[in-house]
Amino acid sequence: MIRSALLLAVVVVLMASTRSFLPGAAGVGPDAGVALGFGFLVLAAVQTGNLFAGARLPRLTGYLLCGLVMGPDVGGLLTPAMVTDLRLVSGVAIGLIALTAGSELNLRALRPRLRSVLLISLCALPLALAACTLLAWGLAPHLPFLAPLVGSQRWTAALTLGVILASLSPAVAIAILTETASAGPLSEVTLGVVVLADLFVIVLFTSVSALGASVFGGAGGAGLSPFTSLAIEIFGSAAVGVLVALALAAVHRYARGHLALFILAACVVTAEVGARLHLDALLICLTAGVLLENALGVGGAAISRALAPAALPIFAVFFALAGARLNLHDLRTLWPVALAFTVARAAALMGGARLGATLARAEPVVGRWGPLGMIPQAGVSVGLAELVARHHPSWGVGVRGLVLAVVTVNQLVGPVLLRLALTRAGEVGRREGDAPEH
Amino acid sequence: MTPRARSRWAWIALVGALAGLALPPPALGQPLDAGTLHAAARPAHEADDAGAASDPGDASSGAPLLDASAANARAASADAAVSPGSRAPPTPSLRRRSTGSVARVTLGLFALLALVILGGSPAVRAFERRAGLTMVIGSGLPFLLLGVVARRPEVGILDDATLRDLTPVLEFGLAWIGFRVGADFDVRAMDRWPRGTARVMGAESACAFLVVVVVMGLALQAGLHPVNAVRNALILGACAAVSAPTGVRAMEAAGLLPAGPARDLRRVAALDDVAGVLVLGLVTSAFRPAGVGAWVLPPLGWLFLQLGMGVVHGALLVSAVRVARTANERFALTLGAIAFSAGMAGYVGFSPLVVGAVAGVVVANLPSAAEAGGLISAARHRAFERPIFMSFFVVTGALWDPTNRVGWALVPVYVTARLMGKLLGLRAARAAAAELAVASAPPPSPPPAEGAPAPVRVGVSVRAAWMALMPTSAVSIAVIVSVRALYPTVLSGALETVVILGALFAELAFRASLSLAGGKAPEGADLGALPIEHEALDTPSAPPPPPPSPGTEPPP
Repeated sequence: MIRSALLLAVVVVLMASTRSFLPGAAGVGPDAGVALGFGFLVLAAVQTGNLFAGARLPRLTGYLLCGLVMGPDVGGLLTPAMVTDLRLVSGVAIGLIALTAGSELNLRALRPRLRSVLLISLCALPLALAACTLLAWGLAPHLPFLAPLVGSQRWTAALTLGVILASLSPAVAIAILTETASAGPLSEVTLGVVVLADLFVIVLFTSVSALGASVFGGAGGAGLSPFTSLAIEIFGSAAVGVLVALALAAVHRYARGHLALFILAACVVTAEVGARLHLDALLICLTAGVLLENALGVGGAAISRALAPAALPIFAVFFALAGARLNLHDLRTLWPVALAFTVARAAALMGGARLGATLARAEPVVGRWGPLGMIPQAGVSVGLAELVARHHPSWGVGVRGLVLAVVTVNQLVGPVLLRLALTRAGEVGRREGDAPEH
Repeated sequence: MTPRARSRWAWIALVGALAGLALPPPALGQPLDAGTLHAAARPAHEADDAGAASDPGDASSGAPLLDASAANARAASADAAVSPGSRAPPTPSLRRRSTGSVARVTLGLFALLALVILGGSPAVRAFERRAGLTMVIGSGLPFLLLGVVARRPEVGILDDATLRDLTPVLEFGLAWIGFRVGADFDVRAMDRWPRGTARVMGAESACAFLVVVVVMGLALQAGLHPVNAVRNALILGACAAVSAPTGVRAMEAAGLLPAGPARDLRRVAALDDVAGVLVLGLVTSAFRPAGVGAWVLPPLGWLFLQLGMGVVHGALLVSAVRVARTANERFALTLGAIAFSAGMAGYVGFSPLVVGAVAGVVVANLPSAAEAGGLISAARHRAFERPIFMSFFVVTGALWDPTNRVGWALVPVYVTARLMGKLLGLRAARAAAAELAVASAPPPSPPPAEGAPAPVRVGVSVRAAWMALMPTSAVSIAVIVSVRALYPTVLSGALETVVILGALFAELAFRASLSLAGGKAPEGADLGALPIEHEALDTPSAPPPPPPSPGTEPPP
């Protein structure tokens, strides 16, 4: 730990001295800011993760805190331009996370727990949606961005906020499960629920967007109806995912030694092209991962093994960037409201998960510790909030600020709770041929 | 078709393709303007070079000209681009495209990456050997060409937005190449080399450097591009000084060089990469962009800072790898340390190539040779290294403007000056060391003094050694890419054209010379991979080094 702390201190001093050369600018070299930000985040985040691991805390929280402290809002070592320019890393990381998640979803093994996954999802998500929507509607007169809205407009805005806040975080769940090498009923159910929840939220959000377009008018993009957009996004992503899976299966068969590089290449292409085609990189790679594991005979273990060397730097930078993007300004301004929404969301998700587990007669360990795994929240919420801010600037900007504040809290607390749940459930380090990273 | 014929056709196709790309002059300037991406992220300090663009020599290049106001406007837009919240969104070109076009781009990008990945696989390299294409592929030039083609508007695989996302590969690739160059500079291994190796290397690279600096300096000063002529001539000299070991390998495989002298010449070729990097370090220290940054230092101060930065990064790399507890963490931290050094160097206006090279020297010369070797091999993650090099060439090609006519005009002068410089240098080395045999046949080797390292015996004619050192090292391309990033002007585009085409023509000249000399590489001969991927300089087959004897002077 001392070595890690010393190395972290040296890296921070080097970065601070370098940034003093051109304060606020991206650097003399055209891409220097990107390389500098990437290298700094890899070195600093990995060492922070080591320090957190030494303190029996998730590395992920270390990565997030590292990004938050070094980011534009606090330490200022990373400029906003650096954070923006590293978007390709984020895109690739999302693809890798989704591919890993999909390849971990063995439907045959999950079948006995499918009932638990479905019932927990069906109980937790609607409850969280209802709780956040009602709270937003109730607090609307006190929220400057919702107060001017009346009637159906206020309901629509509250519903939109509720849908966004109900989302979970597959990225965080996968990262924690990988980091702790967890396996068992709780791990499987958590993975299934967060993936399913992501799909539900995307579908719900598109429906709410359609409602918003009719209530507020003028929303929607590219001249397509919301349902057409939804169909393109979901089915188009799934179709591209099938192609990616077939390509990767061929690589696994004929050029196994290059599987890792081809997966990275697929993630780069998905990140580069997917966003511009309104396709969801997460869905593409999730589909590919599920197919590879369940239909094409490329096991999740092979994918994890192939990606192991590249995964650490990419994940560290991805979560550190997520930390750097957290908005402390919004949190400072909106903290009482954000706290209320955080508590309401957590209570609803945990209560719903407990109810679902009871109805499904899930294993006791799932009923007892599963609810703690519902708290993490990350990229999906932020992405949806950005869309709302773009389509409905009059009130969407305020919604985005509130969502970012809630996500900030959940990002910092969620991973700790999920790790605690896995530890208490006795599933840490139980994955075959793998060991927890500390 | 024999491998030899296939190789010849491959070279013809390569040159034809390049010429074809260079021919249509008019509208290509806009989409292929290599400066656009770089200049779009430039601060205002490059106005010093902007004046160079007003030179009439560029007026015919077809590339958009820069004047001072344009440079400032770009700088202003660049400042806007990096300011919080005002970053320009990616070019939405894909949104305007048809479904077929999008599918083509998607598949093309994937195919491009697949080619980059497969380019490093043993199976492909075995195919290259069987097909006699090793030198063509190994030069890296086909991947460069691939980048040029992928950037063409009618192909459109690498559009502005994609390229902007991929350009950090350049910075990272430069630092990685620098690290590889520096890591070859192990003083302990060099102590075991034949005496005089450094002298031969110094003479041949220094003469090539000086001749090119003088000739190109005069050519530039005479009217082609008088602004910053000294700096630009020095840069071209640095690019001319370096030789690739592929020529030596090819001649050895063709039976034109005996094994011993070939090994010595490979060492010379590996060592002279350092000379090019050193000159680049001096140039980037002496020619600082005026008024940029909060630090004010004299040129020697900048040089000291640049070297110090490299040393610090070497130490950081060693510390980071020592802290790592797993192989994956070691790889992550190596990657991070090299990216950090690349970014730090670029941020203050140094070349990542130089900083990376100094870091490599530090790592290679750790007190524990075993630890140094372990660190270097850990850094050379084979599965990822070659794709990084290939990606570097692809992005370099995509940013290169092959239509720069000033560059084309300067190529013959540059190539001739370089070859003459190499020839003069080898003659000077023979005169100075008196160890370069004049005869074509290798002379009987005299027994070395007991306990002393054998003196270098190139053992071949000056002509054969000259021929072997004709091909240009890919480090020259790294040098010019580095310069391009630091001084992104129209003139740098011309320099880039000179160096890239110079490398191509040097290869062609070598192939022609090899044919004329009657050499024929045996089928399946492994001529190595990329010129930057040196084989181990002290191969296991090399005879064990004699014990050092510091008091013994080399025989005259």
